[in-house]
Amino acid sequence: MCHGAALLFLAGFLSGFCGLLGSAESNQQPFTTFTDITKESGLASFKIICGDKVTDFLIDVNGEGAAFFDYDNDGYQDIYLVNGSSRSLEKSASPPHDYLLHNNGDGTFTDVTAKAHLGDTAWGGGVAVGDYNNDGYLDLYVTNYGPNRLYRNNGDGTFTDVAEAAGVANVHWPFPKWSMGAAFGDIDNDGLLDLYVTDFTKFYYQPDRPAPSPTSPCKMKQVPIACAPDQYEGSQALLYHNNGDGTFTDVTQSAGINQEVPGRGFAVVFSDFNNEGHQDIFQANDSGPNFFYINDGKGHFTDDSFPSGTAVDGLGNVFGSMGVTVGDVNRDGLPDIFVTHFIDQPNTLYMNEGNHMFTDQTLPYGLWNIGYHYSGWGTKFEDFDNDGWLDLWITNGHTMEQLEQRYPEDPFAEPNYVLHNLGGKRFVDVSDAAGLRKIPNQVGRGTAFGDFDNDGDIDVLVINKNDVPTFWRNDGGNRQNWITIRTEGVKSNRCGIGTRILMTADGARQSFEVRGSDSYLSSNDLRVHAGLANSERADIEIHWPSGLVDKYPNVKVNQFYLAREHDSFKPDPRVKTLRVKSD
Amino acid sequence: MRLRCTLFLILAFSLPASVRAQSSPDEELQRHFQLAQQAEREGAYGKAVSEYQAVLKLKPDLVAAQVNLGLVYYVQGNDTEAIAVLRRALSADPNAVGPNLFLGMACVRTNRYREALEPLRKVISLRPDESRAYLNLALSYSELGRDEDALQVLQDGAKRFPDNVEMLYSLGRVYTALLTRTYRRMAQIDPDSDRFHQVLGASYEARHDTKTARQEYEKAIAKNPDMPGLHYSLGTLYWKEGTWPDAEDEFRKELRIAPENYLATWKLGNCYLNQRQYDEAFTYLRKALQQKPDLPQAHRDLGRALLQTGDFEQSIKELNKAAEIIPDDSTSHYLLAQDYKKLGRAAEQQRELELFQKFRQAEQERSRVDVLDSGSDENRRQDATDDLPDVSH
Repeated sequence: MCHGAALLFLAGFLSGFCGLLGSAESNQQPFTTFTDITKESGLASFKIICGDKVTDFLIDVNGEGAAFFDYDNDGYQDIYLVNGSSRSLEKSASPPHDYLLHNNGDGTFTDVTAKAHLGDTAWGGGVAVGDYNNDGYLDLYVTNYGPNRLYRNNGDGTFTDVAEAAGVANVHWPFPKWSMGAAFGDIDNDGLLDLYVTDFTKFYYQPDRPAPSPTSPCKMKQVPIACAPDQYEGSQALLYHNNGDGTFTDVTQSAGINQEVPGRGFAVVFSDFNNEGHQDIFQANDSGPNFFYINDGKGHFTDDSFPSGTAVDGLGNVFGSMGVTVGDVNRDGLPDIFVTHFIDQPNTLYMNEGNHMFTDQTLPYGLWNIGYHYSGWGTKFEDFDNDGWLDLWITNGHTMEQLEQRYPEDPFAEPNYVLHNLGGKRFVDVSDAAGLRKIPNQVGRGTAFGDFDNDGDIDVLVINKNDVPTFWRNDGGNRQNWITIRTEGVKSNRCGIGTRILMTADGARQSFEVRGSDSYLSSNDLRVHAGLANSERADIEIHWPSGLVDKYPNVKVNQFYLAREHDSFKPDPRVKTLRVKSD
Repeated sequence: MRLRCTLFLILAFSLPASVRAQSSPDEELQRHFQLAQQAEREGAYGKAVSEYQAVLKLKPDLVAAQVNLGLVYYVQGNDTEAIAVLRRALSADPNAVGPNLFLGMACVRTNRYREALEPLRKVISLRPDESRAYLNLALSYSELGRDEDALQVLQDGAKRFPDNVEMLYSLGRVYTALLTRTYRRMAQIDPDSDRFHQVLGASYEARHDTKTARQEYEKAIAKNPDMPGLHYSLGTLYWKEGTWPDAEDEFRKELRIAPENYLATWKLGNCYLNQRQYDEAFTYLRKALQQKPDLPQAHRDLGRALLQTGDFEQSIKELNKAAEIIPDDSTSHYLLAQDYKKLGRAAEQQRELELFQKFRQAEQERSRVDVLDSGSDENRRQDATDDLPDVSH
């Protein structure tokens, strides 16, 4: 019966969608492949540390993130790697530090950490990118166990930590506060990027939550492990309003995001979920309901977590939420939400029905079983094969290595997935064909996405716990057409975060949003990348956070563009090298 | 400290009567007795022993002194002396509760389980509200390999003391011992039997080793393909993993063998529901409710199917039936909230969300029983069913 239904579905799919732009079947293009270029790019020299060899405490578990961003405005996406630490290394003479890697434009990267006055040695977590002072250079916010950093980009290849002076260092407790996710967004559309920072738990080395031992109270499947997050109190996320003078004000309370029971926050995204022109907020929480806040347009939020249907899954299950991505999966113009979860919990796809109502559609979209036994972290909706439909990436990695000794079916290293979106109706696992199984599984965490080689398709950088990253180059995504747009706000914030872009080609319309911080503890290429299948031209409509709308008809495909608010739309002058339609 | 308090309670009960009945006109005996009692109250058990010994030297057959000396020995952990002197006291008054109880407990503490039986049985017959007698008698039976007798004692004890955690713990231990013994016997008789493979499958499943569990269920099916329950167990394993087509196959096979298995019927309907095959889902969920009208899982799934197909009013009816059967089932209330939201009935939606959150918190509290063994996997409902009472088939 099941197989029969699947055949019926396929038949309906073929007949119903073959005329539309971008259906995978219409142009018979194979999905793209990914090539591991970690060594040849030079990234194999940068090991990311998170705890010692054995996972003893919760702080060893969560891992780190990374960012794609163009810090020197040379048109290439550079890389920032957040580094963690370990008890054995953090007090050593040369503790682990974060890295800034300059994109040389030839497929390789150079470590410019010291030259850029970077190299934070705190136990790091996440990174957010945005131009908070509108000077045309992208700044960094890095979350830590302990004081966070706001690295102002000086525009000369160096950065200065101004977190304390700006009031965003986030030091509130007698013990180190543990921040995880962060995102820039303009909550009141005043042209200045505000900042949301999630905090995880009130963690320190509590004596009643000891390292794993036979007498430890914390076990999983009878195996002693580091005590899990639910053994610790959650910690309040913070919202900072940008004052426009280089400082921020903590508006957590007045903006209405203060929680009686704070979450154990991981990833956070800003998105205009109801197309009202206001940035709403979704926060993924471990071991507790997620938070969904609706923005009234003036920077005040209403907690709509449960009524929206996004706090829990469709049956009311509370999961351990880790990563989150937002994108218009079915091209109905509304951003949908996908959340990755802990081991033996299905990830959840919340489809946006409008009016801030979401429905759990994990099962019909074929996602219930994908990575069910694995712990999901980094994730992103991206059109990897440029067929006009957003595909999905999921990075996995177990939290505790202790289990695999007794349970080989619970390996520490876990497979990542790439899933092909079939016409906005269903996802199918194409990981093997896409080349992801050509290398051994790893213990994945944060994941960043961007077109690092400016060839018109999206590449993937996966952070692995206590290992070097894995750098996947997308080879063949650009067989189909695409357009990439960099936004430059004038009245709106300079880098255009929150800008909504509608792209119509051959009668089919896609919607995008300029958003850096989804996935897990990571920040992505801020340019909007749209796959356009076989279409040669597209009509583009840009809705800026300021409320201004720009329309550019009949735009040619396979080009990088710069859209300047209410001013111009032209090929991006920064992008020097361009490969169109590689073999 | 607890033992000391216990001792004084018993002494306060027994001593005055004894003294009145058997007090000696001899002043020295009185003085030693009073000194002994004072020493007991002060916790100076060594001195109490020497004073009671002095009393018994003056009057060897004074039962009150024998009893009290025996209790002091017990508190000191000097069980051998306690047993000897309590036995002497009981020769004069065989039905004294205190001496029998402490004689039995001293015998247990010295692993003399056979000797513990008679005094402890006597305590239960004389004073059935003495929980320690049940616990120690059951322990003695267990140690003597008489688990069935231990079970009987603890079942009686659990009826009399339904909130006594120690009694329930001991009862659970005996059940486990009986279960283990039974399975070991099965293994001895035929380790390759269908039933033994089924037992192993369930055991591995409980230990989350689903791969080995599946292998064992498959071995059992290979031995006896038509045995009721095997395909259901294997199907449930697939179902828990969300492998719906495999689960479907097994539930169908089960229903060919045992069409009355309403749980298999419901789970088959659940598989279809999870795949959005609504026609089949409605068929099997309604059939399950024909077979078992008060099956809350089926009402809930039917409500869920109706919600997903847009029949919100009927969905509310079914979900309310589930909530009537299990009032504190949070998922039914969550689904009801979704129905009311679709209907724009905000007040009712809010009420259901509040109930959902209230019951969810209660479920979280209950799940703390398992939380130390589950990482952060708290309070999860596998397809809205794990928290509902399952009926073993």
